[in-house]
Amino acid sequence: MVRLVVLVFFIGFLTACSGVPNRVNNDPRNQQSHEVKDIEGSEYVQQDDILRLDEGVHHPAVQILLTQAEDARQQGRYQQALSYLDRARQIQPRNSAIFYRQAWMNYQVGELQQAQQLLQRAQVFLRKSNASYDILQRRIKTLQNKIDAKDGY
Amino acid sequence: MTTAKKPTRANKSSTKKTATTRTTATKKKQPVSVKPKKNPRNWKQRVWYWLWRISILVILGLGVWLVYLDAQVRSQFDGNKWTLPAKVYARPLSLYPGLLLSSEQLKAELKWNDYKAVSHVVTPGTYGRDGRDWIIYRRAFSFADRNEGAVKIRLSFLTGRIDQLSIAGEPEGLVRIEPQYIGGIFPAHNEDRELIALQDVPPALVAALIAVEDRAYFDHYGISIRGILRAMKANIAAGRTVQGGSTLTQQLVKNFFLTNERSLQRKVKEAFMALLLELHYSKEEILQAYLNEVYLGQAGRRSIHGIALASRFYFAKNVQQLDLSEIALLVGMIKGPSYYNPFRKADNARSRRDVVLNVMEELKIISTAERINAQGQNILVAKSGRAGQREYPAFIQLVKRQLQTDYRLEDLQNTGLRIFTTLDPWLQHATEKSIQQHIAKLEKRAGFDKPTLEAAAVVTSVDGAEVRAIVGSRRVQYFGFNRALDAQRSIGSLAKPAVYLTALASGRYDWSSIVDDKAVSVAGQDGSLWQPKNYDKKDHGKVFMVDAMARSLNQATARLGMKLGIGQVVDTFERLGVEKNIPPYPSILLGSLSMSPLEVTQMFQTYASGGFAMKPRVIEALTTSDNKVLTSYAVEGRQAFSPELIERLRYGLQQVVVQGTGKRLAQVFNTTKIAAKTGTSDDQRDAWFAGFDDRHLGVVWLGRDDNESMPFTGASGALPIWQSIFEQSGVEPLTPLADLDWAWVNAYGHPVAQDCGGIRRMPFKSGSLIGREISCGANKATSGPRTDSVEKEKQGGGSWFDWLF
Repeated sequence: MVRLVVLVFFIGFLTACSGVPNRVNNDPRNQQSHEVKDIEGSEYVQQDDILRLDEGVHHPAVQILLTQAEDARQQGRYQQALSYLDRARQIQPRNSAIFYRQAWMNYQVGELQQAQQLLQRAQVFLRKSNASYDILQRRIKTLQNKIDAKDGY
Repeated sequence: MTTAKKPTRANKSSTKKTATTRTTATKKKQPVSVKPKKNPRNWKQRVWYWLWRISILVILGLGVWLVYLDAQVRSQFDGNKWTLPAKVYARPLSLYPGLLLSSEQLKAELKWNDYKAVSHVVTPGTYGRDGRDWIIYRRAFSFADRNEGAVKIRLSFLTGRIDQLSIAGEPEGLVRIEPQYIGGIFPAHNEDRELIALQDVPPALVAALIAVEDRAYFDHYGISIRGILRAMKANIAAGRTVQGGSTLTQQLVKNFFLTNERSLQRKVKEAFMALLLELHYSKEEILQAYLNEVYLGQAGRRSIHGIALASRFYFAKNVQQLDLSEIALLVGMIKGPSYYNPFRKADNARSRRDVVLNVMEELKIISTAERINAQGQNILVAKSGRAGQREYPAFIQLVKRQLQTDYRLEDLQNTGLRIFTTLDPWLQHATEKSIQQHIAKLEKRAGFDKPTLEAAAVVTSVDGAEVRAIVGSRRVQYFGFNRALDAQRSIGSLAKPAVYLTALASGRYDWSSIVDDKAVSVAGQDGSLWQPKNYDKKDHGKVFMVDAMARSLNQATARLGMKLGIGQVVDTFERLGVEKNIPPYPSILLGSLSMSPLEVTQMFQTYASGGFAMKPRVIEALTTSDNKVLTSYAVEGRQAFSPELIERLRYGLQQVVVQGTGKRLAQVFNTTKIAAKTGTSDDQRDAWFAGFDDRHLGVVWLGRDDNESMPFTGASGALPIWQSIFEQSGVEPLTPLADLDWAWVNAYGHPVAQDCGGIRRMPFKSGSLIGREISCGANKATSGPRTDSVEKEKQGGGSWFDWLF
């Protein structure tokens, strides 16, 4: 009887050890964007504006598109940058960080109404649970102020 | 030898000169010496003289005409030779680790995109699969945002998602399969073609063409005397026209510049133009034009031109992928595209192919073994329907309509624009199939012995309102009346969520509020009475507001709407994105209001998107034929309602699935996190179902074109179609838009503290419960603000409430 119990426990132990390791879940629905690379670190400066579209840490597919968007922006191909951003949005349709970037880019090219609408979405989809909540909230507010100042909303 | 000849030549010319001088001399003398007599020699000279002058005139005229022809040839042949219809593409399939994707979908999309399954993946346009691992050789493609070369993609699946993705051995985060071509926007003559460069045409095809149509092609100057003589001989021998003597150049001229008229004049013109064409352009340029111009059949309204489109149309392949048998058939078909049509006249096609193969062997283009092998093959044509036709009429119509607000139709038809759309071929396919299968089932059940029912459906993405699928008729290939866009049908209970949204937005109602389902009667201003009844013809007394919605109670909804005020509800409709004028009649509360499925989609989109009013969108980007982006469209839309309010409404829509008319879906999908509403118009003339999960919104309409009633409701007629579409797309449970507060409520709808006899748990506006929850000892019957507010409203006697009795 004792043997049987030991055996059962031993097998149980083995099963636990040989379990499939948790894979990195790449489901875009579960992945947040981080506005800055080292959110825990104390060194980073909290900018209230982004300098580059590809700032921060994002879902890998989104990151690629943000990088492409940034390249296009630097080369003055704004329309193309916007279309990369919209592709990123289609992968993560409720990612506040992407909406914020779309709004930011639209603001840069003078599409204020569009920027305004996108910023609304950035705000709506910003969750308190988001690790970058504070910084993104400030960035949204800053951009909102800029739009208001320019457009007299 | 040479020296000996010289004097002869000199003599000859001097003789000529003398003769001419003499003639001139005679001429000069004429008036004096030969005046009275008619000299026959002189008469002859006069004839010659006039003939000479006339011929100069003729030559001059001919010269002018040739210059004119030449200008015509050059102006039409240089630059844009064809009016190119705009090409419409589906959305490209983006692949990235973590993407939810079934291997069935991947396989189907590759197939529809003319990818061939092979065991060794070495050429673009092929793929191979080994269990969960796939290798796809993606073709080079000019996407709307950039050009991408051909790449070999490796990917593996794990539990329904893409697990690993790599290109050339390196891990890759994101890659796209080129989008499926889904149709064109054609000019009036409906000429469709895809252009191809000569270097992309398989040499065997060119060789076969020349062998069959014009062997001396590379030797003649546009017309071939030998060819004409040979044809004449054959025709005389046969006693009728059996052979044409036209060169490829002449055929091209005929198709390109001239009409089909059979006259000598046209023939002469053709010959001259052929010569001129050869004068200005190289053999290769002419051959390339021929390959793109040639007519190869008819597909409904479209005429198929050029070998590139024909090979896609008949074999669902790129020209480069054609095998010898297919090449021979395609070349053979030029002689008579309808007589040798492999879809309808397989025997004719087969024997023609064999003739071509024989000629190819005879000219040593192929070996005997190749010929025997190719002749042994069956004629395998693309399945008619999707692969061959591959058009999505209802979707294309919407594309055209949306584009025409920004572009001239002429430019869409002529300049070869490339239109990148939002269509998801997999969802489109699912929607088409679901409609066709279920209509057949429903008709059988109803005992209709001939096609009676019609249906339409629209599927969009919830967040961006991108139209993913659209069907305008049970005949999905039909270019006629598009019910999804143009059928104006009574929406029935699909109007109800707007009434409940108005109630929630007013701040006076929660889902737990008690509403009265007593019989209702409203007098219109003209004295007529509106007395809506419930579907089951029963009164349900006092019910929770959420149950009135979930069970689609007409009497309760009508009463509630009257209390809120018709004007308020109309206002809600407008904010939801309904663009048409809504008359402020009480009957609109129960959906006595006509809308198209697309308009209903736009209204429900606001619920699905979390409060953003958006127009369903089909265009992502528009580029010129050489890939300059003209316009790219991105998500847009104003926020019409707060996400929290929409989240509260969604609870009610989910109750339709939890306990109401859409209960069946909860079992099928094993989740209640689907928001939906059934709709049935008066006398069951229209059956509707609108619902969404976390990814897609689907609106389905079922009815009859003659607007007669049918034995189906929204739940029995339209819901099964929606269900079938979403079974194929997969359901992702809804995620909350905002945090709500939850509380137990008692039978009076009052929130009560935990363990105080609550009977249902319901959501409330965040923060609104503070101070409202009743402790266990309190008197349930008299306390609570909800009933009070309703009573107050009653006493106030505002608006339409006066009409209630």
